[in-house]
Amino acid sequence: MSSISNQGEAIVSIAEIPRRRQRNLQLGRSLKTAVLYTVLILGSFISCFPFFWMVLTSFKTYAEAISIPPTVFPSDWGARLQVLWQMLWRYPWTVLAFALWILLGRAISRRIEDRLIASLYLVLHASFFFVLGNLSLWGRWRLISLWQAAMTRAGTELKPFLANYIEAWGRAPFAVYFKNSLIISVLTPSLIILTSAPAAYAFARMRFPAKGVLFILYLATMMVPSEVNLIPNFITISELGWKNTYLALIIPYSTSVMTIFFLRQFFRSVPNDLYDAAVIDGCGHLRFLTSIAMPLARPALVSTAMFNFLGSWNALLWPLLVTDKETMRPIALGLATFATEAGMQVQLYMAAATFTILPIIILFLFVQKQFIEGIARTGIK
Amino acid sequence: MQGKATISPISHEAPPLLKRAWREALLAYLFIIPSFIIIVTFGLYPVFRAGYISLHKWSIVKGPFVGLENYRRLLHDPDFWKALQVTVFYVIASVPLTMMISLFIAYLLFKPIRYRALFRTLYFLPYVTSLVPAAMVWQWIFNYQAGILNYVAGGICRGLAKILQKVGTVPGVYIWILLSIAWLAYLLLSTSRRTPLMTGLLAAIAGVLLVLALAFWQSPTLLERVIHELETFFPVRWLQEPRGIILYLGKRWGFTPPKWLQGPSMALVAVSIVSIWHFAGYDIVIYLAGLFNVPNDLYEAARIDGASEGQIFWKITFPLLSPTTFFLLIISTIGAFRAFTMFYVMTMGGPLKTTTSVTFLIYDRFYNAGRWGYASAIAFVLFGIILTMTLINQRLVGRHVFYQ
Repeated sequence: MSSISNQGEAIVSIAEIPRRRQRNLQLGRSLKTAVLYTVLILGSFISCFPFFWMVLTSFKTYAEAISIPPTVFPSDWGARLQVLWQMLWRYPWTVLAFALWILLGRAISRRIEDRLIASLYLVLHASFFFVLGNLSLWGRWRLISLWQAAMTRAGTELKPFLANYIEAWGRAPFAVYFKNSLIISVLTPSLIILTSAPAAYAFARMRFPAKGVLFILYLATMMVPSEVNLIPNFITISELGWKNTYLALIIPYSTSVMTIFFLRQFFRSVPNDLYDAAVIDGCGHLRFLTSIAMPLARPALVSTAMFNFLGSWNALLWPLLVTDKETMRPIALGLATFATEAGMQVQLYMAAATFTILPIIILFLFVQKQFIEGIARTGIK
Repeated sequence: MQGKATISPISHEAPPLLKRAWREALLAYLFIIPSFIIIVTFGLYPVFRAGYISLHKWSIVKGPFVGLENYRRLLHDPDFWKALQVTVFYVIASVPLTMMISLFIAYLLFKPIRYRALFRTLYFLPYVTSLVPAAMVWQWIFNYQAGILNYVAGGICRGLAKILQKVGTVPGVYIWILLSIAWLAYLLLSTSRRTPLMTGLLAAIAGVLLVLALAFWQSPTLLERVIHELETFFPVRWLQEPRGIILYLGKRWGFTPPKWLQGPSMALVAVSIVSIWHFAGYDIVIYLAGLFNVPNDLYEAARIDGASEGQIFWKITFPLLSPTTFFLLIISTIGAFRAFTMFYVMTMGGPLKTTTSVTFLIYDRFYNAGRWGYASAIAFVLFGIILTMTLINQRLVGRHVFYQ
């Protein structure tokens, strides 16, 4: 019997194995599958748990947040659901609104390639309706008065659903932080591509004196950790008078040897025949770069751009050094200082953390395939 | 017209060869110059300037030239050695574990399963979220009084203690002993096709259970002690606990390890856990790409030859993944040596400087103490360490890497 099983599935078809053995095999296989999925689900639960916990804590009151034993869901959610139910029941057109909202969500989530991740987005999208339905932020909205009516019907008075968020948003200039981060992390990758792509092209396809020396010089700077350059760059920035300006936050990182190196590899892989054909058509290096090589490199460019976007969105140490004005801080730094100021008000800084993370997560859901495959292909970090 | 074009590519004037080369070089320099200016000003020149600074006494304003005094002082600075130790602990605690967990998960995801993309995305999510909010959330999870971790882990341990109380005493312990013997016997006698590693692992678990049962049967005081331990171990002051983990565990059993054996502080362990959580997604994606690159016919050939799954993994997959492992090892080690954000947000280098990594020390000396010359010297030493580590890695590990 063992000699049969040792030959493996490739030769022995399952029908030839005695029935009892067959049942055992199938049982073993489905048991294995069950264990496999259990481990995977458990693992992804652990990796997502901090996000759940963050969102749940951000809706609690302070007393609830620090209570022992901890409560999982904010205690007023039950009452809220009741009121929401009242509202939907009393005013059926809100159901229609919900349906429209879901349809909108479906239209948006079509842009996500993977179906399951699209439905993940749809869940997020649907929960936003719940948030909106609970809102008493904009009193002019008709929805709010419905909400008020429903509340009186249900006989409860509830604080605004996003109270913690509103309070956290008001405690520090988060709008300014977001604006700064957006400016920095859009301009930095654009500049990186503007400066790196031509350089990479020159290293890949052009002949000029001192090419080897220059390239080694570039590579050498890649070996130096940025901690070494921290202090001199800080002095340079002060000498230039750039402290507390966008220039200080953008220019030192506006080119990336890593990107040059990576794009050079890519441009080298563009077949020579293509270039020859372009030259015959009267096309110089510049034209070839802008109208053939760059469009061909689009996936590579997109993934490096996304990476550099993320890198500058998350940067902490450099902005910490070169900005001391609150109005120049990017979001990561602003949030870090907010957390120290908010002290023990945990529900507030969880709310702040949520609205910092959320845009990035939603953005990621839309580009996740390109993003992950970009990493898998290049290994850039 | 076609005939003309094949003779000279640039048809109208056909400038002499030298001039064309010249023009090409000029254009190339034009292409390079923007990045060159930035790289020289913010990447190359600073290295020399940092060297220059590190040779001076430089407290915010430039002081006198002191030669290698900063480096000499650094060698006698206990804070520096402590920071180096912390960094090494951090690397050891986070890098290998992250890679092992990631390889395991990637291996599971590589199997023909459904929802692979969804799982991959979920595992990758921590890596995309920026570290500042993530570290804040973890800080809250690790909180001593109201943190969920202490609550849940404490609950599990107390539950175990309750079970032990029931099972550990006389009627229960017999059943326990019999069950573990039966398990061992089944493992040894069954003919199912299991890998030796798996059998060994299961047998080891059964053996430990058996030994524990016998020990509890023999000495009720040990049982009491273990139950007490399980009941009182949590809450742990994760991020406020400066004692080393071995000291922390040993003290409870009346064992005080010597200073060199105390291990990383509980705070550093907590930070390492967060680091594993954050970087696992990245490693998984890289490993998954590596797994898909292993040619399928190798697996088929091995299967036809009757290799078990464990054999296939250790003899084919793992060796062929070694370039990936090697790449990850270098990248993660360098990354861990330079880690800053988590320490800044979660611990600020405390408690008792047990989470002051080298990078954090540089920041502290530079930003808080204003000792720029000294901070530059530390930065240079860090640079040297990273460089030698890369070289050693390449020498040692590079030899055993299989490239196809």
